[in-house]
Amino acid sequence: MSKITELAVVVEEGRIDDVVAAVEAALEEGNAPMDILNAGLIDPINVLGEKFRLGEVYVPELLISSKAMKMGVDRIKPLLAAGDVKVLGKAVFCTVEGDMHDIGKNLVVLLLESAGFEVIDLGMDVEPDDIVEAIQENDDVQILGMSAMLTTTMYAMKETIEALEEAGLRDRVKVLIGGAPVNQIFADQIGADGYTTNAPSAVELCKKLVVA
Amino acid sequence: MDRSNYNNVLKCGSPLRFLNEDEMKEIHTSTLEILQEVGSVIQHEGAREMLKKAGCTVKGKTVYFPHGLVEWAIKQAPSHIHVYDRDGDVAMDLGGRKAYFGTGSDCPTLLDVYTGEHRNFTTKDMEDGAKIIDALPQMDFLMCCGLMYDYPVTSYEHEYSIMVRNSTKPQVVTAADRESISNITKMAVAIRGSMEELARKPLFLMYNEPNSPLIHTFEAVDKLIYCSENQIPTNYSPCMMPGATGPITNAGALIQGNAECLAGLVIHQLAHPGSPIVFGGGMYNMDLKCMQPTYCSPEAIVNNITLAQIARDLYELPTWGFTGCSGSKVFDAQATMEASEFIFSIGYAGVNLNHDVGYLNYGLTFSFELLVSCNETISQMRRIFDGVQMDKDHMAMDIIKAVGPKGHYLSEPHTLKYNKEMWKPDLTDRADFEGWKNAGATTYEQRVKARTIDIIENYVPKALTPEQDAAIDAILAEVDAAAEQKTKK
Repeated sequence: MSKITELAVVVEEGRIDDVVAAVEAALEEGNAPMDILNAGLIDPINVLGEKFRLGEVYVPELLISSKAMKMGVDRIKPLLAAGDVKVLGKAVFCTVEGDMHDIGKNLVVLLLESAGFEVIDLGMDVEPDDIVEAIQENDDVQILGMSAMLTTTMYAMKETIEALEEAGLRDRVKVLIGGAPVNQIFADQIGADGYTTNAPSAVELCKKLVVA
Repeated sequence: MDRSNYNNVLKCGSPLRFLNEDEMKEIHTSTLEILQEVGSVIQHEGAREMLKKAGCTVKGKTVYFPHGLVEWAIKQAPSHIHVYDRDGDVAMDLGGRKAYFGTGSDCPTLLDVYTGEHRNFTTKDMEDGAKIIDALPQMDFLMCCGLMYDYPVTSYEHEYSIMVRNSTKPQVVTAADRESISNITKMAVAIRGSMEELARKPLFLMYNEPNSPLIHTFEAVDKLIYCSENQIPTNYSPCMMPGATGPITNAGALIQGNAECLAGLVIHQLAHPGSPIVFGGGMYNMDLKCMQPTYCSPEAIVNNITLAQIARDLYELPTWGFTGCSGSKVFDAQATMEASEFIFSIGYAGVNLNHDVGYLNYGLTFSFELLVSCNETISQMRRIFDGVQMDKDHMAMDIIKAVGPKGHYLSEPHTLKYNKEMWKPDLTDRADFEGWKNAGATTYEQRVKARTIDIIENYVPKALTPEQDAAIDAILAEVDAAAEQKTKK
C-alpha cells in the first residue's frame, strides 16, 4: 500500500492521532504535496460524504474524519502554493437575534466545512447590524445562512434582509434560512433565496447557489 | 361518550425503576460536582446577583453552585401541587405516582384529518384542538397543540385565550417572555377573580426550559422568577438531544439534564422559597443518521422515567414527563406503536404531568387522530395499573362456592354488579367477524378518524360566562394594541 493510500485510510477512519505522521510518511516517500492533498486528504472525505448521503455512516464519523483532514491540510499547507487549497465557497452563518437554539445551525456549518466551504460562524443571538457588518468586512462571502427556532424570533430574519438592502449588500449574497417554525412560504414572504428542512439538503443547496 | 373515567388517576402499584437508591445518589452527587466545578451560564444579571448573594461563585456570566445551596433548594420546594379546573374543582394532584396526561404545544404543522395533508395551523385548528382535548375523558390538561401563525407577535396570549375558552381543563402554557406570561396570568385572573384566588387554585402551569448544554437564557430565567414570585406553578425541562447537545449515554445525559434542572430549581427557590415547581426533563437522543431528535426512542423513555424517579424518590418533587408521541409522519401503525409504548412506560413508572400526546414527526406535526387514539390507550393503561381489588366481595369466595363445578357465572348478580368495573372498549373492536362486517368492516384508523371528525363538528364545550369572555377580549385587545405600537416603532 502506498503511503498516500495509507493516509486516505487514516482519514477515512478518523484517526486524528495518526494523521500528521501519515502525511509526513507520504512526504518522505517522495509524493508531491498536491497529490497528498487530493488523493490522501480530500478524496476520503468525498467518499465518506457520499456514504453519509446514502445513510451508510453517521454524522460523528464524517465530522471526526473532517477534523483529521483539516489537521493533515494544516501540516502540508506551508508546502503548497497559494491557491492550491481550493475553497468551494464562503458563507456567513448565524442564529438570529433573541434566539439561543443553534444546534441545527451548528450541524449545517460542520457539514458545509466538511464539504469544502469556508464558514464564518457568528454564533447565536446575533443582531441584524452585526450580520451586515460581517458581510461588509468579507467581500468574498457568497452565502448568508440564518436559523431560528421560535415564531417570535423568526422575524429577525426579515429585519436582517431589510438591513442588507439598506446597506446595499442584498445582491452580493444569497440568503438561506432554516429552523422549525419557518417554511418555503415564509422564505418567499421575506425575500430569502433558499430554504431547506435539513442539514444535508442545506449543503446541496449551498453547492448549487455558489455555482449559479 | 363515556366520561365516567374523567379524573380517574393512576394508582400505580410497583413503579418501574432502572436505578437503585445508591445509583440515584451517584447521579445526584455527580450532578453536584458538575454544578460546582463547571457551573452554568446564567444570562440574567439579576439572577446572577441573587445567586452570588446566596453563596455562588460568579465569573462573567458563569455561575458555580455550592453543594449546600443546591440541596437547600431541593428541600424548599413542595412535594405536591394541586391544580384546579376552570370551575374551581381540583383536577390534578401532582406528586407521588399519579399520572396525568395532556397534549404538547406549538407544532408548526397539523396533519389535516379531512385531507391527510401537512399544513400550518389556523385559528380554527387551534380551537378544534382544545375542543377535542376537552371532549376526551382521559386527557387531564391542555397544551396548545399548534403554533398560532395568525398572530405572530402575540401568539402565546391568543393560544391561551383559545384554550381557556374551549375547555374547562387546566392548561400548561408556553410564553415568549415575562410580558407574555404576565398577560396570560391576567386572563387566568379574569377567570378566578383575583391573583390570590389564582395562587390558591392554580388554573395553569407554565412550561419553561433551559438550553442544553448548561445555558439558562434571560427569558427562561426571567419567566422562572416571575412564576416563583407569583406562585404560578412551572416546570423547567431541558430538551436535550444527547449526542448533539448532551452526552449520548443515558447516565451522562441524566447527569447533565439533572444539572440543568437543578440550576433552575435553585434560582426558582431563591426568588420565593416554597413556590411550586415540577421537576424532570426530556433527553431524547439525536439520531445521528437523519439528525432528528428521537422523542420516543427507547433511550429517551429510559431518560425521562429515570430523571422523574430521582425527582420523586430522592428529591420528593412532582415530576414532568413526555408521552404519547411518535416520529412517524402520519397516523399509522408506527405512530400508535410508539405512542402506546411511551404511555405504558410512563404509566408503569408513575410520572405525574405527562405532555406531548398527539405529537408526530418529532413534535413538528400534530395529529388529532393520534390524540383521540391515545385516549383509548391511556384508558386501557389506567385500568391495567388499577390492578387487583382484594376485598371480600372482589375475592368472590361465596360465589365460587355457590356456583361450584359445572355451573356458570353469566346470570349471577355478582357478574352484573362487577361488569360495571370492567374496561369498556370505545374505539377498539371486539365484535365477532359477522358483527364487524355488518357494522361496516372498519379499521381502527377509520373509526378514530370518524370519532375525531365527530368531535370537531359536534362537540360543544362549556362556555365562559359573558363577563369572563368580555374580560378576555379586553385583555387581548390591549395586548394586540401594545404589540402594534411596538412594531411601528
